[in-house]
Amino acid sequence: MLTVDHLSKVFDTGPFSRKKTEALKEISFDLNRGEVLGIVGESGSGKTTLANILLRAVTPDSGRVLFDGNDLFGKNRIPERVFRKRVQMITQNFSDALHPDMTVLESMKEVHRLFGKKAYKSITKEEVAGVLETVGLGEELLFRRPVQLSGGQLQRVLIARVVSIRPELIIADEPTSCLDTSVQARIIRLLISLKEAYAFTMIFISHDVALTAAISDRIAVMHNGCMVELGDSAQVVKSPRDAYTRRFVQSAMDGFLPRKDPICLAV
Amino acid sequence: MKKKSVILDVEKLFVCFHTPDGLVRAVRGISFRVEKGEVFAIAGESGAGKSVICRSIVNRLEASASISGKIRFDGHRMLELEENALRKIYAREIAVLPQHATALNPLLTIGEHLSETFRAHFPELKKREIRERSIHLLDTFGFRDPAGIFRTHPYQLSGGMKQRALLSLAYCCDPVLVIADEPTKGLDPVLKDELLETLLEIKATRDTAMVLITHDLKVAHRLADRIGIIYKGRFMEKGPCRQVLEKGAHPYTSMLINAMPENGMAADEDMSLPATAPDEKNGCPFQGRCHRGRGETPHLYEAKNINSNHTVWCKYADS
Amino acid sequence: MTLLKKPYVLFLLLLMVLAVGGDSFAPNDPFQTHIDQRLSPPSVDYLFGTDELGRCMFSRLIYSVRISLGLAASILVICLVTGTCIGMVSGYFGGLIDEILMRATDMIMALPSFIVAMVLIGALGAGLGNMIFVFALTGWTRYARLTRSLVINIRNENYVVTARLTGLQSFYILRKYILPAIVRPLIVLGTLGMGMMILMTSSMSFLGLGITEPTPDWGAMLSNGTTYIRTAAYLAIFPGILICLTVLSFNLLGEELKGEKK
Repeated sequence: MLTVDHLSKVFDTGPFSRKKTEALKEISFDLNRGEVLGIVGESGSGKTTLANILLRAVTPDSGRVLFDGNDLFGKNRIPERVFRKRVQMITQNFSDALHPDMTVLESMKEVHRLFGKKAYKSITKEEVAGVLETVGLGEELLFRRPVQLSGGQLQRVLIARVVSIRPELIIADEPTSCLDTSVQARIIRLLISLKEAYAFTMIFISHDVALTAAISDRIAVMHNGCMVELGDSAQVVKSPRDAYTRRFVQSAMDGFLPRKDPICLAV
Repeated sequence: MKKKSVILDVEKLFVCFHTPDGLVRAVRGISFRVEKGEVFAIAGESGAGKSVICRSIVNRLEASASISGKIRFDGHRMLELEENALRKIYAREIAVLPQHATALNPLLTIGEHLSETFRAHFPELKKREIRERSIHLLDTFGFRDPAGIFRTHPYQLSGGMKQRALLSLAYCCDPVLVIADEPTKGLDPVLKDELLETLLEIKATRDTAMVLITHDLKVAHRLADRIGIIYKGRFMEKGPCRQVLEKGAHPYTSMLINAMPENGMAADEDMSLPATAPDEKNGCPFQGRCHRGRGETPHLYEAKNINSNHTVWCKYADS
Repeated sequence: MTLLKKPYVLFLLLLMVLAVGGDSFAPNDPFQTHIDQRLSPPSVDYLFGTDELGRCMFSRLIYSVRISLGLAASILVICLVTGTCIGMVSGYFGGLIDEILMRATDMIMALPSFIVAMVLIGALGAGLGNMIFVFALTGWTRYARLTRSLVINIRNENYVVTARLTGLQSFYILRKYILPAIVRPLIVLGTLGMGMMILMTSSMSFLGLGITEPTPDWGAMLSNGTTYIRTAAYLAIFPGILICLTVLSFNLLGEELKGEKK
């Protein structure tokens, strides 16, 4: 559904510096409908820039992105309103991603403006509560404001908001990096089950290899703006071909703690 | 091995906050000791009260908090100290390792940061001596070009170097105790690895104790000597780090470990459970999430000693 | 409400009441001339004395509150609305639109506004409508500038970026996300600007280019009073004090609001 073809992006570092940062260097890959593609790499490897280009928030310097055969930055690009209905994102900074003065209900309702005023007006409280239920939140949260929610709850609200638009592609940029492991586990499980239910395609960006492997069909490893390896999740984690990938996976797996039976009390 | 002395003694610490939504009991009776040169980790999920404990130790809680209990540090009663006395202790004896590299003033060079601290605590030092000391310090923290680093501004440094600069700043007056509040939060695995290596090296070469606040059990596992797992302001399990994390006893500890991505993320499935359910005053706070205790009649929060220094607060532990 | 305890707030409230109730509070008809009692000093009948045509100064001052404040306020509202709209569009969309709007703003800012106003009034003739037009023409620029810089900050807030990338329409984001966030600093600047507006319009009338006789206006009354400064100083003193107090009160209120923001 998505073809990325020799994508490059260079950023100026500042007004006084002639140095330029090559955020992306000749990135190419294909994304098939219905799959989850994981993108891993350290900070500064260009993951987020790539996400922003795919979201059409940043224009690349060269290369093309074809979404169902349509060039995202070409002359006959999909109109903004249609594109946003089809591609949505889940961000890492969920803590301030919602309007601080709006209740959950208002925030959930406002996205239906994408489908016109009529659709927005016809959304009822019950429907919103129903969507919240699918992400495991009760309707007592409807009238809360973002500050009154925990991190996990906020991220769920954001996921519910995105899912209720029924996009074809969701780009999740480190959705759990600020959450506790137990909450992270729940959110990932939620994403997997939502994917089953709504059949969307997803790009999952993270710096945690183990986490990405758990949710993705394929994994791409980014390093200094290049894509150094792309392959099946299991293969990338278990037998990485690239030297950098090997090191990266190694450092992620360092200090591995073995799984424990829920209760092994006798010491 | 000679018996090491206790430098930090926290005894029955209770912290409450008065908020518009009522009384929030953030810390409920935490006691622990940190010996000289030891790393004590406090691990738990967000909202468990980790940061509150850390701020109580340095007596930096907001005015709306009411504290009871005793915190003894090197003969000082931290909770009773005045502002001036506290200022003398900060950095010199207790240093706080900030979580984020934004703690560096972007307008000052690394050298100016260090000199500032030196000047505040050793006013008798001459400019040249400060410079020599700083450069020596940067050298010991693994900077290849310490004299160059002395003159650079924070924005010129990479993320990992900024972290190390922060570390050298925390250790510059050779404190007795360093309090690190989530030093690895938000770092990618490579940087985290680098930071851990540096911390391990410091631990091996210096006799500085550390209170490590973290939610990352892998970090605690590699760095800490002893660990306390807390949940809702109470200890669930406390003991030698390896013993707790590798053989672990408490259902909460194993839940945390099993929730890690490498372990298949077996989270407790009960998502509907509110994060802050009111519970009985002396009841086990974890019971609602505990796969064994759930559904049973509420039981008490009570300690069981597994051995002399490993304690578990769980009814089902067979001592 | 601690604000209500401040004397300058009470004073401004009093002015509001006078502006609305105007003539009904005046003890005498502000337009009625009494040739036999011209230039009489303050007395029980005429609290602030009478002017050269024997009109009650006290009544004229009360009546003029509506004119002077109303004039300043309407200019201010027009400036604020225009400036905010232009600044929001310019800051939010950026690029070419921003460039065009901001260069236009720069051009207008480069003109000495008071002199331009004088020239235009000279050409168009004095009068309430012309005054409003002339001052609004140059007055909106500072609000546009401020709004633009505020919007540029907020535009990069995560929740605005998220709303944008979710696909919400620009007009909706401007109305629901951006406007509420910039309203407070604008109110502060508006309050501070009110004092300046009163001074500007009064100066205009003082020069005889603004509100004309017989309509009472602070500036015109002050100017009128200066003729008799030796014989009947109260004619200039009372309007002068009123202008001073009003401008001071608005400035103090503005400062207070500014402090409260933090």
